[in-house]
Amino acid sequence: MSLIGKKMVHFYYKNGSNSQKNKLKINPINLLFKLTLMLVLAGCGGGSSEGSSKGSITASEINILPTANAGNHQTVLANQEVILVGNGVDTDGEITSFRWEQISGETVNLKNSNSATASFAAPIVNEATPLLFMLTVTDDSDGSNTGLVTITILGGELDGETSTISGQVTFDSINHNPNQHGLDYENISIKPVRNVVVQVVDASDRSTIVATAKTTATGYYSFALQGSKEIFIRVRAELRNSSGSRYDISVVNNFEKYALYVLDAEDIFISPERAIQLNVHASSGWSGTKYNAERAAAPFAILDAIYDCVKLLESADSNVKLPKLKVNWCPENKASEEMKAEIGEIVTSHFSSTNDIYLLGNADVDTDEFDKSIIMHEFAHYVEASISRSDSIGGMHSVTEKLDMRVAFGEGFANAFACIASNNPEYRDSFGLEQSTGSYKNLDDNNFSSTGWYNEGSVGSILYDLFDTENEDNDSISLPFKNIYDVLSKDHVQNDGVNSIFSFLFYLKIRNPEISESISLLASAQDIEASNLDEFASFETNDGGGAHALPLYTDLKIDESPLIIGTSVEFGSTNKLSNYRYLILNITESGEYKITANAEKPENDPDFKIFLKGEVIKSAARPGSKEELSIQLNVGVYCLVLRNYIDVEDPGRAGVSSLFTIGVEKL
Amino acid sequence: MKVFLISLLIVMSCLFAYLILPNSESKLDDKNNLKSKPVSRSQYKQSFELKMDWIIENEISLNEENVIEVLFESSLDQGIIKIQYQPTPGIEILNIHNRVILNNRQFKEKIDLKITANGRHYLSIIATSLKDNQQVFKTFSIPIVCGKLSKKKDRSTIDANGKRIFSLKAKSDIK
Repeated sequence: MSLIGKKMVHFYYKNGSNSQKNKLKINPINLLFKLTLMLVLAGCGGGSSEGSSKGSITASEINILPTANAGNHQTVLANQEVILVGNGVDTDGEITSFRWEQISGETVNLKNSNSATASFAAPIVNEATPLLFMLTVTDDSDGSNTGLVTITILGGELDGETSTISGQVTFDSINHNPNQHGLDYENISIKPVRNVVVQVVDASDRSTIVATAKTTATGYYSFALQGSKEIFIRVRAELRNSSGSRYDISVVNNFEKYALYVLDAEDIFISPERAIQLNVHASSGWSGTKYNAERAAAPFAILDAIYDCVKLLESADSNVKLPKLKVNWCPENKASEEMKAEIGEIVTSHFSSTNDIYLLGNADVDTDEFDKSIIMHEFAHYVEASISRSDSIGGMHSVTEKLDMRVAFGEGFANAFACIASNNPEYRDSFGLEQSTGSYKNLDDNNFSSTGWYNEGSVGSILYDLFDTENEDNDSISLPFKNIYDVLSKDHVQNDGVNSIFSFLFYLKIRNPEISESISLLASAQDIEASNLDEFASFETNDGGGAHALPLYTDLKIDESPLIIGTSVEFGSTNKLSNYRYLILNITESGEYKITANAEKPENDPDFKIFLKGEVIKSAARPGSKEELSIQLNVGVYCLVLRNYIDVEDPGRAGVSSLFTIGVEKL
Repeated sequence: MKVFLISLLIVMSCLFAYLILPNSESKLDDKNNLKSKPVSRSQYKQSFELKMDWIIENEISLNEENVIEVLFESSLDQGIIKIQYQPTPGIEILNIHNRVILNNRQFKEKIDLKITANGRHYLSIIATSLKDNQQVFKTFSIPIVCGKLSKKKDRSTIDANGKRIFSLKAKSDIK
């Protein structure tokens, strides 16, 4: 969670899931039936399909054709954005492409015609006009199938059968008090709920979905509906996009079986020729002294902050692909020692590498649904893990501490991302009775204590200054976010060492040589050496006052005398400066190697991991004062990360240094 | 003499109070009385704050040993709170594990139990504080149905797409 004035835990749960392609065992009888069925259906129109498979086939190569579904027929108004939602299923493989084509009617400009979801703006027509579209899906054996859908554009006036319902969806956004930095319930902004899924639901069974659309960037929605019935408008706490940039982000209630939040408006009767305007609002639930009603605004406040983050990413990469993300929030979410999300115990607000964000909701103690900085900070961890490579080990941290350089970079980036996405250097986190107090930091102040490469404040300050247009002393740079994004998504994923402010600045300079000196100046203001920078920061002289902080990387030479490497808990344990040390092992000849690490004192316990471009190749973590590992290594640059087990597993350990000898020999 | 009489009066008063109080304790301990005894607003005010939640380690199934972990958060030191469990017929308590103290306000207890009949059953929890030699109590009920333990009234539902949803009420403005 937050950095300022509050400790945070950052979890990393590594999933072992693999996406292996399923292999189908073909049942010949079933296959014969399907082939017969396809021949029968080939003569039918209206959404069934014309299957085709290229080339001649033999019995052993028979491909079961995919099925195509072009979605529901729709009736829309002129100028309305129409979304064609198709899908395809392939029982013996996977769908490799989608193609939308217009078959008949007034020609429209079809966007994203090569994806499952396409769209177009409905043209102005004088009378109800049907447009016919065909979806073609192709599987991985080049087999294809089609489906059809009709979109009817209404004329200038409603016909006798159609009604419309439209309006704006909004939520209460609680602003922060600029002095105490807590929430100011006297200062509420009504904001649009942007780009979320909105549905018309049949009120008779409260389940059947009559129509689906998305709110616009100003929160508006509109539907054209047929017939007479009672319906209600449902706004789902979902941000989704399946063409161009791709994301699927939802806010769920972890206390209620991870149910998706939806906002239901009151029932309304629609009948032909009615034009209904229905505005839908999500209230905060605040009564003046406490929350005494359901906090309906919260899920949409969270999505609103995330939408700004998504727009920032799209500014750098219009085709950015993000994995599915769930944001877990509920009023029961409180700080705890253990993680038990089902009962609202979430340790603190944090990102988990299962692609879940957990946010506090505990009124009068700590709530984060209106703390945009916190939401964006956690989203930034998700971004780094998704589009880049996060090497941070997480753990408790604060802006005043001297941290392991991986943690300092991860948290500093998250702070900067929050300020960049909100285009505001002010970072606030509210808490306390009535959420009335809070912590505050301005990333543009550049006055953090313990400045250096090990401080998340310094890292955040540099990254924000690279972007912002408010330039001050030592800051003459204003880069588009794309320049930061490119280093993260293209260079950091290939970095031989661990990702830190040094690797970031090193690659940023390579990509932007014209501002190399300005970058050095910016870093120098935070006591970071960047004027003479190599990939492993060999020239850094700021040791943070620690005995075992430099050099950042030590070359581990093959078949040479073992090195003496020290670790320390003089700045705290678990994830602080000098808890971990880094060694570079440059393998120029493939073969089997033996790596040994011995503690100077028997009570110490060396562990190490070997990484290749951020991926763990092997770990050596047995109990005892000696560690030995034989391993087959191919040509490459490996990074060996050494720690004293008792330094990082004992949060109370402090002020102790440990020495180890470490060597490598070729077998 | 006067002083002696006053002292004797005080001692007698204390003895009288001592004889009365155990009687009221025994009433409170009586299970039948507990259920029907009303708690007035003033009594409730005197009582301590106690939150309770629970989780299960296995699905509740008929005639098998099931484990429930009950978590408490109290406004008082947990050391002066006594917890008693009262099952309705159909629940058989097999074992109550030793209390695990999480911190000076939170603690948890585990109960092994068996459901011996189909249907809905309740496990009542009576928490008693002995603060200032006064007993006040709080009761909670855990509803148990065979096949699952219902944590509370399930407000989530399944929508037409098979997705679990939690419905919030909107303010609607119709024109």
